[in-house]
Amino acid sequence: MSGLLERFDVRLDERELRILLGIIGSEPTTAYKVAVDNRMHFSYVYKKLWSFEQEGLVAYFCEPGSGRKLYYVLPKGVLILMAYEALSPKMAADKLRDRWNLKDFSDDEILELAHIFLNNYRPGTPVNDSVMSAYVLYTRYLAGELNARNRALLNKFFRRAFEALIGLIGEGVPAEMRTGHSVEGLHMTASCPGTYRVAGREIRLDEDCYLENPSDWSRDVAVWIAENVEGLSLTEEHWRLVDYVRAYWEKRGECPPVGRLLKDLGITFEDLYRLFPSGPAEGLCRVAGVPRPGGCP
Amino acid sequence: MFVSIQRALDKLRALVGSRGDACTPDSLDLELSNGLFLSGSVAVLAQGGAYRCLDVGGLADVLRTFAYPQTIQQSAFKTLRPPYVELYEDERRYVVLGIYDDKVYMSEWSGIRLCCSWVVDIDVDRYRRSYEALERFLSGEP
Repeated sequence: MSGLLERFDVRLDERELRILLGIIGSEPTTAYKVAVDNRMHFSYVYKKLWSFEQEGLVAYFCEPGSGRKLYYVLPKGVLILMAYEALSPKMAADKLRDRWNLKDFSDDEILELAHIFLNNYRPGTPVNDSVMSAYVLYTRYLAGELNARNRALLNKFFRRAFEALIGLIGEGVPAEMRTGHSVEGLHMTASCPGTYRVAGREIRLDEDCYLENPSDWSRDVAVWIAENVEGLSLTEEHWRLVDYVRAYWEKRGECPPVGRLLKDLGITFEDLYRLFPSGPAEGLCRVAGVPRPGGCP
Repeated sequence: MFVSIQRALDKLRALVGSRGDACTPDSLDLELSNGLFLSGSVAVLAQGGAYRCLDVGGLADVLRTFAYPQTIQQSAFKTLRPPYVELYEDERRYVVLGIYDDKVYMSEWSGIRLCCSWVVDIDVDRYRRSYEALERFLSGEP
């Protein structure tokens, strides 16, 4: 067991194991319920859940209607619980069958597949994605590196992954993704993507109206984006935020976390949205000429 | 304008570690952070199989105010007004409570990007009082 856990490079203490088991036992579930069930403060639970997310052990979705964040355990989390011998075989098989979308696999087949994953796991193996996992296992199978006796099972798994892949390709790219999406809340006179001449220099905006090349940024460009994309006339108050974000990005290569921005500048969310109504990741970052920040899953 | 639950818990941990008495707690109601608990109005620190206890009075209730915030409904982000109570903060995630229209909202951020915003079931007056108590605790002598 310890060898398996070393390969996964994940160590759970007793409390973390209890939390993960609690989630899988009542999933999908909220951080609130995890906190109540384990008598842990929300801030502490959030920290644990966030570390589980980063480890790829859990994920969440927002419940339609209420918008509650509902957490569930990913295949890697199931495999970790199996490695800790904390799950019944039946539950492990049910969860993995569901997560890997292998509906016509028996419990025994699922569990054998799980053991192939466990025994052949290498850091970086994308166990949460059955198609990608199958691809990785297949390349190792072809190279004769796979430690697995049941070739028929592997063939069935590879075939299923291939069919899933073909299905994905067959679905194609939704039309709205091909044509880009409308950018809500903008007061645009510029269209995106597009190339424009600003203060004698050519700039290009990407499909989300962010400056494609951040090194093209200048104060003239900021004024132009503010006016033509955000519908704003920059004041000293705006510039204080723009300069802060730009300096932070030039130093660290990313936008500042919002909490730090507010506290460093001594402003409130009200101030932030009054100055940049489309929001900090949108209006502020566009005007500061930094790439579109990533973030929420 | 901002108080951080994590900072408050760090301070409480240090306080119980330095001023707490050796004890055998009856029960541990709520784990605040790793090895730091509440038992009634007593903060309990578990250290290598032994416990230290310190009666923290009303601070225990203040910490309980934010222990189980239940999201009542998702909401488009409102321009939350102070005071702000930070439930979690690191370089990538930020979960903060604030006030809008006499309700307490929780918003979750990833870096500079807003992820979600909800109304939570914390009474706004209790929220304000708890904020003030935390602010006093954080600014007071350790």
